[in-house]
This record gives sequence, C-alpha cells and structure tokens, in this order.
Amino acid sequence: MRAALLILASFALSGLAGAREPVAPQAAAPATPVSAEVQAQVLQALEEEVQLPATPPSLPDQASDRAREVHQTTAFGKKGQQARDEAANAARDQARARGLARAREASSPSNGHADRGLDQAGAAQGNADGNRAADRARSEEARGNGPEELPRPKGR
Amino acid sequence: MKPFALLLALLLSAPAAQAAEDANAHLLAGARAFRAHDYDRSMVEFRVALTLGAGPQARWYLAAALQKTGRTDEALAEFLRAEQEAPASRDAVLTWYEAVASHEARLYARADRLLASIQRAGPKLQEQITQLRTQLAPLLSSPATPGVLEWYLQRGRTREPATVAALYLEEARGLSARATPDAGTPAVKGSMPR
Repeated sequence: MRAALLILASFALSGLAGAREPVAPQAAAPATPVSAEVQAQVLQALEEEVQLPATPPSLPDQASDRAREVHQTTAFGKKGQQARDEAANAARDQARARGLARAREASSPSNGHADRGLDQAGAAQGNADGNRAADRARSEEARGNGPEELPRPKGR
Repeated sequence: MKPFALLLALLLSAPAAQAAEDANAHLLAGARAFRAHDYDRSMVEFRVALTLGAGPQARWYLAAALQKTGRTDEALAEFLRAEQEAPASRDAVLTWYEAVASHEARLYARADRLLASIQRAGPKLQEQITQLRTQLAPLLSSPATPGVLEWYLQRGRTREPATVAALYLEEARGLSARATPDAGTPAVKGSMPR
C-alpha cells in the first residue's frame, strides 16, 4: 500500500514538473552541463564560420556622426524631400512665368497670330516649359504677318 | 524501502533528463543553423536551449549568434554574462567572436586585448587573428582627437545595459592616455555610467 502511494506521489510530482512552462530564459530549468559531444559540435560549427569583420577599423568621431545624421535627415530624409519638392515647384513656376513673358514679347496688340501664340504659351504652362511655347509663337509669326524680327529668348 | 526510494528518485529525475536531452537537441539545431548561415534561427535555438537548462556555457554560443546577426550590444552583454557565469567555458573560438563583437562596437583596444589573449587557435583562426591585429595596430597607436573621445564618452553615458556602457568608458580611458594635446579634450572620469 505504501509503495503504491509512493509511486502515485512520484507520478504526480513528475507530472507537475513536466507541466511547468519556462517563464523566461533566465528563470529556466536547473542548468545541466552540456555534453562534451554537443559542445564539440557547436564549437566546430562556430569555428567554421569564423570571418574577419566586414568593415575595417576606423576611429569614430562625434562631430562626423552629427554631420552624417544631419546629412541623412536633411538631404535625404523627410525635410530633404520637402526641400526638393519646393525647389521643383519654384523652378516650374519660373519656367511658366518666362514662357508667358516671352510670348507676350512676341505678340503685338493688333496681331491675331501673336495672340494665338500667347494662348499656346498659356496652354504650355502645364508642361512648365514656356520657352517652347514662345518659340512656337515666333514660328507662326514668321509664317504669317508677324514682325520680321522677333525678340530672341534670353540665354539662347 | 530502499527500492522504493530508488524508484522515486528515478521517476523524479526523468523530466530533468528529458529537459537536458531537449536542450542538447536545440544546441545541435543551433549549430546546424549557424553552419547554414541562418544566424537568427541559431540564436533562437541557443536561447531555447538556455531556457531548457542547457548550462551557462550555452550563453557563449548565444552571444556568438547575436554577434553574427549584427546585434552587437546584445552580444557584448551576453559575452559579459557568459564570462561571469561560465568563465571556464571560454575558448579560442568564443574569444574570437567576443573580439569581433568588440571590433564592431568600435571597442578596438578591447578587441585587440582579447585577440592577444587567444591561445591554441587552429591555423585558420590564427590567420584571422593575425590579420585583424595587423589592421588594428596603426589605429591603436594613432592619437585620439577630442571628437573621438567625445564619441566614446557619449556612448558610455547613453548605452544600455550599464555593463556595455562601461566598456565604452573603459575604451575612452585608454584613448585619453594618447589624446592629442588640446584644450577641448573632454575629461574621462573613472566612474561607471550609472
């Protein structure tokens, strides 16, 4: 009878021990030494993968780290994208303004062709290339009744 | 009565034996993953082995896997713990991985000290040690600027855990000895970060 009780108790104890969940890596089951064979195999694997570090050694610098951070956040980061968008918009606006100004220069108050040129220049605003619109206006002028001498766009 | 006690002891030891067997299986799985360059998997297997009670020497393996995954600070922290818990398990290969982790953290003086301490390395490992020490030599004799010192001090103040932060301060102390004479050289105090 006592033997049966002992066996039952031992089963109960082993069941409890088996049911315990590992809580955290540090609060684990009592440590048992790794077998020599397993140790040797793990160390062998580690030794096979020995490699020199990918980057050569170089002394760091707090100042250059800051500079890199600024470079990354400003030039290539969110702020940088915003700055690039703003610059692109400004360039487009300038191109439109130049195109309109040149089309106006090419037009005369009494000339219908020139007015068409102005309209075309306006239509070309979406392409942000007013220069081409002004050129078109000038060529129409040359084919029609326009003035003999058209003002050339600056910088050409 | 004696046979019953023996039976009881056997029954009680069964789960522990099973856990050790499982731990070994995970260590071997970790080694296989390491060989296959699957370092994340290897790290998980070593961690599980530790949870199952693989013994503190498994912490060295975990630290090496962490180094391979690029988690340098975590690797350094585990190496420091492994040194505390199982100093006798340190060997040439494990010291190499600790030196590489130190190198990646730019703790070059520490990396060099560790490499210098390696004895009985195999031919392949010895060649790597020589190459890395050759790369480190000019750096370790060049003067440190205030900017360099500040970099180490900054990490010594901010890095977690404190044991890793202390490594940066230790490096800064070594560097301050060969700092360029400059009025702006930051003072390196001997205290721990926290």
